[in-house]
Amino acid sequence: MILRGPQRPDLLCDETLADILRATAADCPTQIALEWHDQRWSYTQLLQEAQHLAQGLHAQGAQVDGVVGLWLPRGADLLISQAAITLSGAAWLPFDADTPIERVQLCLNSARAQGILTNRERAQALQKLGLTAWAIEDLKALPRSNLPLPAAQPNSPAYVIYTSGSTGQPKGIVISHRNICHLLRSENAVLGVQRTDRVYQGFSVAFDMSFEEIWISYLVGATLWIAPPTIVSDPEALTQQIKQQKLSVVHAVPTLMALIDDPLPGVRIINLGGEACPEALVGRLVRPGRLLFNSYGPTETSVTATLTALQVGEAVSIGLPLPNYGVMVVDDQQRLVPDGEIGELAVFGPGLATGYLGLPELTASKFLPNPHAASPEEARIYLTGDLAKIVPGGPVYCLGRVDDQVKIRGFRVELGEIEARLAQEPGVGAVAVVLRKIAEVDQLIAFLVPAAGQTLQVAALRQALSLTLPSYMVPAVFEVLPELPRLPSGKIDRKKLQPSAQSLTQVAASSEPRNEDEVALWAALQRIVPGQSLRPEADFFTDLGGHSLLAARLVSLLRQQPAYANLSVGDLYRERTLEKFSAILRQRRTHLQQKKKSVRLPVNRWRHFWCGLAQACCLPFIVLWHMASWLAPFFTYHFNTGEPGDSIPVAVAWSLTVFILVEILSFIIAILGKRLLVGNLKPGRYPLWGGTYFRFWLSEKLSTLAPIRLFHGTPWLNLYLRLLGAKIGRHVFIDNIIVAVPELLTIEEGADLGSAVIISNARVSQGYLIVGPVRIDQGALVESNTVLENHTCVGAKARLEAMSCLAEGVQIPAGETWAGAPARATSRLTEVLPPRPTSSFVRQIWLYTFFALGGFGIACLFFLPVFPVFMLIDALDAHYFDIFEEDVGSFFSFGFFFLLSIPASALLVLLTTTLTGLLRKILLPTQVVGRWPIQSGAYLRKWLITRILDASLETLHGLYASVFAATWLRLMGAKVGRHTEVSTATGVIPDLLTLGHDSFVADGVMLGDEEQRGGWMTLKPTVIGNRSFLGNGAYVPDGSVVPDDMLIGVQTRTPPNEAMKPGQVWMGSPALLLPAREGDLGFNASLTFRPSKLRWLSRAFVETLRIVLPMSFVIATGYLIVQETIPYAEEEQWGMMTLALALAGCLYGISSFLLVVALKWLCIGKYIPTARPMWSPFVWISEAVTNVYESLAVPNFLDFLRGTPLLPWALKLLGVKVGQRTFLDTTDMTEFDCVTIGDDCELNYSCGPQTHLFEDRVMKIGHVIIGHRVSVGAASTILYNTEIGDDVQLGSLTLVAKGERLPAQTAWEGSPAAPVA
Amino acid sequence: MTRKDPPLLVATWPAQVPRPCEVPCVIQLHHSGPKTAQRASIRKVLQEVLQSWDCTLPWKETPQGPIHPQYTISVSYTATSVWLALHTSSKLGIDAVVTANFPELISVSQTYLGPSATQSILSHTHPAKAFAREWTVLESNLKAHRQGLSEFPAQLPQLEHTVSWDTTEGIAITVCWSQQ
Repeated sequence: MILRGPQRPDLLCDETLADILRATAADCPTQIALEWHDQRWSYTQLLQEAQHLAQGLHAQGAQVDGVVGLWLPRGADLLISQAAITLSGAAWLPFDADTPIERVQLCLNSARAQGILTNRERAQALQKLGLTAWAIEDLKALPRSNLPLPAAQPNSPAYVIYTSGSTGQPKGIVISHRNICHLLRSENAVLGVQRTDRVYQGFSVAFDMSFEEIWISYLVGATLWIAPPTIVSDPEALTQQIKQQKLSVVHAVPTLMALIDDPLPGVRIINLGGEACPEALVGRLVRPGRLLFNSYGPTETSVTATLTALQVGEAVSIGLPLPNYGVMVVDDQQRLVPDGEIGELAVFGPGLATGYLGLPELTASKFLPNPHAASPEEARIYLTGDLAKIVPGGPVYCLGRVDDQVKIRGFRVELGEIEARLAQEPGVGAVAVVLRKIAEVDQLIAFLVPAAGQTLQVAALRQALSLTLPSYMVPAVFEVLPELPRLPSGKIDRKKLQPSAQSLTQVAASSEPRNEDEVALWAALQRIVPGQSLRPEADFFTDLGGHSLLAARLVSLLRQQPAYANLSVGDLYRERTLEKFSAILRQRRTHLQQKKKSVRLPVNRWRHFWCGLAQACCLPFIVLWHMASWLAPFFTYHFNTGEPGDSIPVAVAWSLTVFILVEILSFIIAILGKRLLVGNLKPGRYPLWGGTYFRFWLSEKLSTLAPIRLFHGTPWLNLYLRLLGAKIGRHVFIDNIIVAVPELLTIEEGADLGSAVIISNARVSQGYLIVGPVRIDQGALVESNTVLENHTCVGAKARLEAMSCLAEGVQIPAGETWAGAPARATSRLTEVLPPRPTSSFVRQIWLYTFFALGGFGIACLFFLPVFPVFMLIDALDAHYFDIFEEDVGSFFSFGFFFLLSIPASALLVLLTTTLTGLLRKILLPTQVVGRWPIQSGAYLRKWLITRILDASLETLHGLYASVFAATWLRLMGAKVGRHTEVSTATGVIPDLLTLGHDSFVADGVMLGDEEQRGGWMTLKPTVIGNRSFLGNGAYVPDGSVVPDDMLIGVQTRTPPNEAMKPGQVWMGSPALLLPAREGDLGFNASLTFRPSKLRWLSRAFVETLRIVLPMSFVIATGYLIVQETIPYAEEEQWGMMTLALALAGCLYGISSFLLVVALKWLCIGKYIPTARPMWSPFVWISEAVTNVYESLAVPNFLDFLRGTPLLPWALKLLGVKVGQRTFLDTTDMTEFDCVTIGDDCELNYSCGPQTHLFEDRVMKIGHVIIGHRVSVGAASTILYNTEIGDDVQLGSLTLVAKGERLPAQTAWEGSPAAPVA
Repeated sequence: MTRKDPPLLVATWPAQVPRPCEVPCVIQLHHSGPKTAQRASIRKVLQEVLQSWDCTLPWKETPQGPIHPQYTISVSYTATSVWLALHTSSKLGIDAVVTANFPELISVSQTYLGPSATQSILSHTHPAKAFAREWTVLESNLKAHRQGLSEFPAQLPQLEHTVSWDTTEGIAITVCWSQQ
């Protein structure tokens, strides 16, 4: 019987795949085509990127009608490359990512491929085999070109797919554009995939069902969500992602869907194919509103030939032919069999391939003339080799294979090919390979009979097959038999070939170790798990029966070898297969070999003393200038008021003028001081506390004078850095940077740097100041919260992701993406942006002007409210007290002004917040999601808001971490839920921020950091769920959607959205999912989440005091100083006045610090380890002390002492136990008495012991004990309840987790800290 | 069915298993197969036990083992047996190891159990036995806190109850749990 699908001539078009893609890109240019991790490509971007690669391919020699191999790991690059090959006019020949290189070589040679598109690593391996291979990284780096590309014709080959061949050689099937384009239209006429669909992309491109996913989506303009490799074989994760990503179309093999135990309510189309569909599955998957299809088709007929919508209660069939296709069932003479009779299924129609590449005889035997053809498209039939029957009128039932072809994991395998390959091995007499179910999973089993007098080594056979066959074709079990069972005809009786009980539990013999690390690992494993088969792909835990004690024994055994001394059991838990674990061993060994053992330089006491003395001499001048920025305008205002006839507006104008002049002068002093006094530092190692160190310190202190914070994210910052000696190219964007040695920083044209980038190119370690260059090459991207140590380089167009640390000497190759602390290469792709926007010279001038006015304007904005305060105090004093004019003594005068300043300070806060809020609401429209050039108005608005928030962190510091913080953020435009606590968050774009109720944002969180690169700013909304916790210093990029009840740990980068589920705990960079969080300590909700009104009022009262009193102290001090110095000015004794101001400024700094010391001891006493709920007075008072410490003592005094021998002494007064000669470049300490630091330690910039955390709204305080001679890298955090042994070294951006005890003389790095070899 | 002190319900499968009340119940399944087979078998046992308690709620598989909305589950495997512990408290851990001496005992002990435990093991008349005891205490506690093994581990809060014993087959077992 012949069965024909509907006749649809409209689906037969003269077109190519490139035509389809171009048409869709023209039809819906902005529609998202691809999603891969957190990146998206519109159809325009997909086409542009593919065209760029196609130009490269064409330039390298790819030609129309030629064949180009495609061998890349799963991801967007793979799909873009596939499209690129078709745009270049060539046909692609795809390979699965884990295909052995020998098979790749075989197929490329067989197809006479012009080359292969792959990545650099594989390209090098292929080139060594004499093959032409092009690395995608190189093609991407080529300049863009608009030259027209040659076009393929509809009859040109579109792709070649190799399937298993029974002769032992794989056979290539050539599919033309006409074939496949018709299939796309024909199949979708039944499936009905639409532009609004979101389609799951999970198939390997080497499997032609991937066409249904990829190219049907391209045909209609749907969005493809590319599944990460970890998802495609993990049913639980897949289920989660299908729901989370709101996918509506899923194409899958039935065995995968059988593992999904979820109704998947959002999926409207499921298309099963690739293997037989069990009936039981139909009942589970059918649901109202969903179409469940079963598709059938050999590769030779272009993916699919028949299709049916499955219904519950109906026998599973393969349905009816697709439009324009036809099927028939024939006998072994190719004659039609009667209706309902079983025979071989033959397919005809416009999807039939031309034939097998280079195999005319095989082609002739499988593709036959169709004696029943009714049109030219039906001229040939293809004999599928499948047994089938057609009931009258259809449908078609598939009943198995005529030959010995099987499907395993979706791949079609000729058992004969494996048998032929095994038969070539020495010693093999007879062989039969069968497919059997072992533990409900289809497995290949090889039955072997040795040749006479020979013995067979199973391990050798397995290894030989692994070299030439893909992994799915290597049998799981090899069974050696004395003879094979035979039928009377002499043929092998395959039904009798069943695995023995022994073979079910059999493990194959060990393979030979391939390198010295595997030798060490194999030797250790033979002791730990004797008798087990050791194969590179074996999993220690599942294949070798490993458990925690065996893991500990293995690691302990390996650690006895010096090369692996720092191995950790966590390495084995992370890299469970022997191959990957041995790669870790290699990494540790080579690292050790490369690392030169550095010897600590003992601190010279005299050098320490003299350096300290020199620093102490410089400090008054530095403090004076720092004070000048607010004392000078303060003085100016009062100098111009108080007399009859004085004009307050004039005084305000003079005061503001002086304020801006001082700010400008600060830049000049910083630059001239650096260039004239300090000079340039050269790379090298210099003794700590020596002359070079002193110059470095002075340079750093001078640079802190310049108020560069006003110009973050502007070209002024670049100019300032250039003036300090840095080499900054054109079109460089820097948001916010801290550079230790500017003259050793090179940033090349077009590079982008995010926020809080620390260039730690001078750091103190082992008694030395280690100085070296840092280079960021052309077009590179360094994201926010990153640390780059000396002698590092970010290559051209490379990317260092946020919250990463590039350790000393590490260089990122061009084009690569690295992430984590310490940074490692990742496979994540960077979303392709439109070309860099350009701006005219006039526009550039306007931008410089805008940023200058904006920067100083915001500084004035936060200074302006001080004038009403002055007026209020002056008016009260003039009308009622007249203290300013009376000589009542400094102490009384200060006390009086302090009391007057209390209401005035409250007024100041109120005015500042109101004024800022009003300006923000009136002048700045709501920020919206999207992408804009960084010269655009949208960027300028965002810049202004960011500067306002940054300035508020200084002036309104006390507001943060208080009951008023949420209101302040709401005023700025954020959506903040009830009972949410917010501390000093940075990077916030309020309009795009949603904080759920009961959430907690700890200190220093970078929340909603936007992307600025390639001349574009991209804004996305950021959502933090209810009751979620963001730990100190956490990094949350914009676009993050943190689910409810999450805990993002300290110094942690949030994982991609699709990885996060409610209730999880993530820690580190890259973030690790932790199994559980510490349980709450049983405090009543009234002390944690739901305080009584009285408690709320009490906390508000304490926090109001903490906001107002430090300001009152500043204002009162200012009045006292003015009162004392104005007489000199009135008598025009300017020298005396300057001296008096300098003295007063220094005294002010010291008294700010002493005030905090007094407050700390009076209000807290000695800090001891404890756990107190957030709504308890102890916490409010402790936070108040911390706040005053951070807002008064640090900026006015302690900050200047960083890097001097004076800082340890100052901290001792607060209760910190610090040893002798310890170098501290940080003031980040809170519960002072809980910190112990030994002798000769080195704590670099912005690192610190974190002696408390607020998890679950309970303030848990514990000790941090740091031994002697410990070095801590920049931006590292040591959490409480930790003990760091003597001589330990911690790298930059390292996180030492709670409860760690790091043994003496070890080195650690990373977040969380892991041993360094 | 045997009872430990403090009372702990220990059953060898197949057996009638009473619901855990104040103390966990522990089920021993003799099984010498590969770990995948052991895993499958102990899950069948778990299913039957839950059914016998008329508990219809399914458990969920996670990389850290099965989790159940009503009961906390902990499983430990040795070469010849599988041990399953169930309790209603939020923290429960079980660990079983075969008592045996091995060359790296001291180094493993120093790295993972700490100096004082090593000293105590070495001064014991039967160090392998003492090691197995200490090891199962550490591992069961880590499991109860859902923490992984690590070098020089942090001191975890001690749970309210820890029960250790040895079987006649030379297996050391520790179960620890909290009351709540």
